[in-house]
Amino acid sequence: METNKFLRYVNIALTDYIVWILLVLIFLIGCIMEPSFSSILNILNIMGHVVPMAMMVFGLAFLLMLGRIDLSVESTFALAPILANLLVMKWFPFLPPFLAIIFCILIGVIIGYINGFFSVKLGVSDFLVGLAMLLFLRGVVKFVIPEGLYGLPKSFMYLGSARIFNGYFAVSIFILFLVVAVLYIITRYRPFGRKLLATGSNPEAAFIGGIDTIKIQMTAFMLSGALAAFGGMITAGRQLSCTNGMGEGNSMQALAAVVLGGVVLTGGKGTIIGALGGALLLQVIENLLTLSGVNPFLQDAVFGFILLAAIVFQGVRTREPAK
Amino acid sequence: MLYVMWLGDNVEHYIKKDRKLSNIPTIKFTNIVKKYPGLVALNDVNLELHKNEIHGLVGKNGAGKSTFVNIMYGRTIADSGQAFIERDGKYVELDLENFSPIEARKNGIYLVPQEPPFALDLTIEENFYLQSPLMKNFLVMDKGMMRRKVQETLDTFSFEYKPTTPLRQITMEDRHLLYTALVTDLFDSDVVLLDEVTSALRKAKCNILFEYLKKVKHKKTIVLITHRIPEIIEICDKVTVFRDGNLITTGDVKDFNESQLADLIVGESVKKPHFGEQYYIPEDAGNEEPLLEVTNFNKQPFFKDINFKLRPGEILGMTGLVESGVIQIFRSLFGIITADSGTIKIEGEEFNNPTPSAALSKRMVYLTNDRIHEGAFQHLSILDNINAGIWDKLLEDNDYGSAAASEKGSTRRSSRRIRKKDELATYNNYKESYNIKANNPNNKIMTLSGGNQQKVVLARLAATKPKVLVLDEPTKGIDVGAKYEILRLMRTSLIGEEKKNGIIVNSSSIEELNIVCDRILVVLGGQICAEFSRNDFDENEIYKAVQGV
Repeated sequence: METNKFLRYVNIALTDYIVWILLVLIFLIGCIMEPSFSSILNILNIMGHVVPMAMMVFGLAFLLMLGRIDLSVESTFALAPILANLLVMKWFPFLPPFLAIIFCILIGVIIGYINGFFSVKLGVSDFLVGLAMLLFLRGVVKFVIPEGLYGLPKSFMYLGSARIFNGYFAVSIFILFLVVAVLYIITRYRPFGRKLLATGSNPEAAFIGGIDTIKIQMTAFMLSGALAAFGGMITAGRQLSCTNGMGEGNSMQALAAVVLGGVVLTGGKGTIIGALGGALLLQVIENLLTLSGVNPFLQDAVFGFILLAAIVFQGVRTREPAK
Repeated sequence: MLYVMWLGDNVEHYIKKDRKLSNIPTIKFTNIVKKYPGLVALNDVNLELHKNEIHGLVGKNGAGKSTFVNIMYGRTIADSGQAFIERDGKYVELDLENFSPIEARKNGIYLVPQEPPFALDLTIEENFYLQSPLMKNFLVMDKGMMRRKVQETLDTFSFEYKPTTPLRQITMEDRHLLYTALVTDLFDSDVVLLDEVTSALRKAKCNILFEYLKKVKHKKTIVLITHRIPEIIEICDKVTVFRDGNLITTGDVKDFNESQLADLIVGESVKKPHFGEQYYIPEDAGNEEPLLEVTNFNKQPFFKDINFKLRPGEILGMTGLVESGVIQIFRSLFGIITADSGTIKIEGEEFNNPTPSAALSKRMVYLTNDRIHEGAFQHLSILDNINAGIWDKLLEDNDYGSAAASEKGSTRRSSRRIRKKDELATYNNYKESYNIKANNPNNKIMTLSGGNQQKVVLARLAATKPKVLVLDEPTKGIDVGAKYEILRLMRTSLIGEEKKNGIIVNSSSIEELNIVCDRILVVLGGQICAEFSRNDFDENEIYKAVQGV
């Protein structure tokens, strides 16, 4: 009985928290191989770096738990802060600058709503809608700021740029923990989280069982948009500007992080803590590769390989017995 | 013991001497064992199947009969045991360790699974010859030949479809029968395993199937898994009872009667539930406001001019053939199908633009007849499945999910988060009152047997404290014991102690409706064609009305 229980825990660890086990392993390897890797400064650097990406990852994690997907998060990530700042800086300069923060989140929500409207209400393939929006929104970004946007309002940049403890500790790391805590509570203890997983597990049963599946899905799309916009805001603060290439190519990385974090593509399974682990894992690996002087062009190949390994592992574990 | 002798070295010799093959099993299994973690699915099972017999396998859900059939077909690999198949008077051992459906088919063993595996966008003809089309030569298919053969099979089973009809246009019931036809008639099958095929078929279609089976049984070995005991008596020559992974008995059907079989299946004596008159509502209590009133309900092409009332405390049976429209009427009440016109009133209040979630807030719930796809959340835990209807309520200041709290005489206080202890209270409450056999609330619901899954889904509905329950085939595909338990629950806890709730139920078993209903409406061709009140219940009359004769 004791061993049975132990095996169950091992099994749970392997399914739900494999990413954290991997993270610890790679961290230890990193400490041994690269002395500079384990310095507090470097760890804080990794943490600060992961924040914007983590926001996209969380949003996507919600959608994937539903069995949905939104590939356009990386374009929302760029467009929302850019439009928000153009609004207060160029188009309506009489508005107080701090409104940019609110506009930014709001634009994220609106883009999420549009994605949701097509995918959920009209029932078009979410994959294709996301792909089209990815291109469309990026096109808009490149059109409105061909050269980038500088001199953003101080209030807008605060969350991304502020540092405390003699400039060691980025405020955005606090924000990350706060967001994780809130999302964790939502998924674990609020009806929304339960309904999310139920809808992902079996949309038909959820609908017939009286769960407002349309509302749940729309909310998830809007949440994903808002989180992506928030991530964009933090990036803008970190680099003290908006560029038209920000976030480009990150959707796929975010997707990789979510899958590494144990969220199942077909929906119905996944945790926020796992998604966080996925985001951190990618960041740690990237950092290690940089520190150890691996050719940066090889990094994508490494990511791809890790993702493939994770997918195969997950697939082998969760597949139905061969028929 | 005699067969053990045959297994010896002189087997071939013995068989050659005695060519009366009908006494020799076509296929025999010895010492089959299959274990799952924490469960013995099959414990040392020995079984022999003969030609010229229809062999019924019965048992509760989870008794091991499906596992056994899956081992025969190579979908499941046995832990140990042997299998022998008779071929030209010789016994050949099947390699059970590396068995697979492909191997099974090579040996003439075919399975008709509970879900017909058709490609829905292809036609009947294309589906039938999906794996191995007939060829004129190595390049060109022999379309004419295939079409003729398909047509013959269709005619044999009195289908009115053409070989070119796409599967999507065929009713679920006919798909089941069609797949059975394909396997038994068109394929070169020696051993046909029918896994609960009849549970999807109404009486008339069953009869077509049974007539056919009787015709071909002299050249095939047929195994029929079913939960309907009368079918065993009617069609089978031999019957084998499984219980908890053990083979309890094998024998000639004529040696058993219905109630003996039921007792063997359950392992103790089961009585059909019988309720005293006080359980039913008096017929003259018609002046109360109806719980549910449906008027001029229409949906082309499924049903038209449907009018009925459901009184408090009433169980209203509504039945008909699969294509009669009953299912669509039920679904339209919840907006799963949008009705063309008509009004629904719940307790006198109009219920417009129905959706399942709006219905839930009016305390009206629906049990689907398709538990696997639309009922249970297969990948969620039992705990989540039971609480899925009341997650919102668990936050509020009320007595949902608080069996423990109400004992102390206090209701739960409101909370910002769902508390595990409230969820567990719901679970423990229904586990006990519904007699759900589960070890751990955190296990996935799919680890339970069908009957227990159905109870969990029913418990989910009951946990929402519904006033109107619309139950479509609540006893479909579950064993006798669980069936009667569910009927008992309907008449007692679901209808409520004060008999304030109402239930509408559809069942293909008129016998069950007779036991549980106050009134039965029969739907034929989308219209209510007959009404029976409790005093006029007569199985034959109702059956005739259902068939429209």
